[in-house]
Amino acid sequence: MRLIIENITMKYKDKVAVEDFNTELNEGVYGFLGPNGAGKTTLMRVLADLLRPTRGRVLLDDRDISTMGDKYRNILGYLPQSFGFYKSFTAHKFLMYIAALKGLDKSISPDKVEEVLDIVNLKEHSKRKIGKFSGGMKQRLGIAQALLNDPKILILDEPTAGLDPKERIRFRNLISEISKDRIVILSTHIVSDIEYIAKEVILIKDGKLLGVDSPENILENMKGKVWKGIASEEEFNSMKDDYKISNIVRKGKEIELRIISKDKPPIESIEEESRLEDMYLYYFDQEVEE
Amino acid sequence: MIRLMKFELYKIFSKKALIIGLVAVILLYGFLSLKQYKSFNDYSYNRNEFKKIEGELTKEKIKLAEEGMKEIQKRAIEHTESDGYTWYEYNQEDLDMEGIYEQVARTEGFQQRKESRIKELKESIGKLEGKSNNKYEYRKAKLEYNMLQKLPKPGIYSNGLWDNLLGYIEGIGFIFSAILVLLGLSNVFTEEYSTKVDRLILSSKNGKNAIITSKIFASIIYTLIISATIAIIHLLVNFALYGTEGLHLNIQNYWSYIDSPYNISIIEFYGTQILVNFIAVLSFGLLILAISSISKSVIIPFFMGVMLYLLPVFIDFETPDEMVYWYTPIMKIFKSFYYSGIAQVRNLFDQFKTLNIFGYPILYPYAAVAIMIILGILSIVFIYFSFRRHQVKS
Ligand SMILES: Nc1ncnc2c1ncn2[C@@H]1O[C@H](COP(=O)(O)OP(=O)(O)OP(=O)(O)O)[C@@H](O)[C@H]1O
Ligand SMILES: [Mg+2]
Repeated sequence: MRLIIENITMKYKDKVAVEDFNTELNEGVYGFLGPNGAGKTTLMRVLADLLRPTRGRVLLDDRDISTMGDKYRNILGYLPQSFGFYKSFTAHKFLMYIAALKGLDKSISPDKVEEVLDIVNLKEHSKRKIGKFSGGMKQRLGIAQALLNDPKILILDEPTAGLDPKERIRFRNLISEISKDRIVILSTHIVSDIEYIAKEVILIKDGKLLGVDSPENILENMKGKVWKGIASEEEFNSMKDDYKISNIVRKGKEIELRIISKDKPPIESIEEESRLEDMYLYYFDQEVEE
Repeated sequence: MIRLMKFELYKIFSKKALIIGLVAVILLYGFLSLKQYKSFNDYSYNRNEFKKIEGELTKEKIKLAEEGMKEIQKRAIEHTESDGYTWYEYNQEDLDMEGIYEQVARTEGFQQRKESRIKELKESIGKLEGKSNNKYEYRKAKLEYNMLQKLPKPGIYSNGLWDNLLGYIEGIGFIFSAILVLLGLSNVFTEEYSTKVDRLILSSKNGKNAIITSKIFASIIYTLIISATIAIIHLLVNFALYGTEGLHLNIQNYWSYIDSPYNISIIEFYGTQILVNFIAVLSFGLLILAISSISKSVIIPFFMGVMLYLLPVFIDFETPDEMVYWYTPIMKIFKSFYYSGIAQVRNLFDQFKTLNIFGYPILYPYAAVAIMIILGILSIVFIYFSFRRHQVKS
């Protein structure tokens, strides 16, 4: 399977949300990473057949998805960033409705619904009305509906938003389990969500593709750019506008800093092992432009 | 498909607003029915005297009525105290009898009018025959002639029994059905937008085809259920309060339709009312669905629906004299073929009226049904187009 995003530009009335975006995706997990307003949701909506791009097209195995229509949507699972339910429906009933929408066979629908409810740990709540669900439970129900049709292409827009740490780990394991033979695209602000499971990280800023690389390579590139040092109050004050500082720990009069910088900072410091979070700051911190 | 349709039906019926509306309509209906029943009973007339004259119109009855009328007038004049004013004083009994005699006279008058109309038509058919420049007038005359000839002679029957049955749709029923359709269908599509389920639907396999078909079918079934329920309830209430007397008689025996050229019975006409009303209300419902498919909030289709349905009321202003000539006839036609006008049914059947379609006279009822079907289909096409292309931007 090969999903090609080709020259996608998406304009809202006056705002260009995505601009001339090109990339190619295969089986595996892709993490869309970018600050608020970068265009992740917009791009995902184009991929989910919900927005017609102003320019460009999306190809699945060389076929334009806009001409594939329901054949494309048949293999699609989509969790929107913001979405809703019918409050008076129970979880079970709502999923049965989605199953009908997805064209699942009547005979397998109930089992399939139970299965996905189990996956997201909502089995004992299946007969409760969704109106009474907590935020995290609704989010999990959203994940469940996306999985109902065993999608070959799974698009998850901030799937871990509102999940507690335990559920977050569950989710991560689930994704790495099912991603072998599908394309999984997920967007997030929480770098740790994708650090270990993403095949590639797609960096988006201002609607443009900033870069695509595997987490390992990104970390490799970050080598020698992360420093740990001890600074006095004055030193910290003089540095804080010119350096990207990812962590600050006050230890009495001194301050321990984690600094992202190509060059060694002007205080006593040692190289640190880099993490994906440092990369996020390295690429996306707006205030400090070199 | 069937599964989706069941869900859509469930969504339509499980709305609180609909339940409230239904209760309100039922209460109002009950109230109006009882009120009408009371006034029917209050209207005292001499049932026994009427029985003597009821039935077919015969020469004897006409004579009896003429003589009776003279007697009553004479008595009235005798009782008049001449104090400068002319003031006829009737006693109640005379008043009742006068009503009965008048009905005989009216029926006879109608029969004569019809006969002379038939004669007139025959003449003009003869004149128009073969003339190539006025095919429409010729065909129209022939059509009317054929229809009038088939009509049986009207008789003398008590009309009060049918007021309730036939008066419902044209009185308040056409509003009730529209309200229920508005309550049921206004948010068929807007609900998806406002709950943000739209993105789950539109990204699913059946979300751009089958779901639309299901929603449309569910709406049709909903309208059908509403119409059928109303029809049956009203019929049963009517049987219970007024019985079944005279329902097999032709509608020309009912004062509202004395000029109607249609050869159908009272009960058949009730069925026709229900059917035509259903078609009009359904077409209106599809229009509401179309508006719903492009509205973010349910308020828009609901209030636009109310406005659109009552449009003829709003544009029916005092016509200035210089406009009367062209405005009034246009308005008349517009009202006859507009959703609410057709749902009222009456204007289509009360007289011989045709539209000129390429030289062929098309009777109003057929034209109206055709127009409703065409508008309904246009709405459906629009719904498919707009929901499929709905862009998720919020
Ligand atoms: N309906 C809309 N009309 C106009 N502009 C919009 C609309 N939706 C989004 N935008 C703009 O498009 C840009 C991209 O928005 P988008 O929601 O795709 O970003 P995002 O990367 O998903 O952000 P976040 O991390 O906050 O979810 C933003 O600048 C946003 O203001
Ligand atoms: Mg987003």
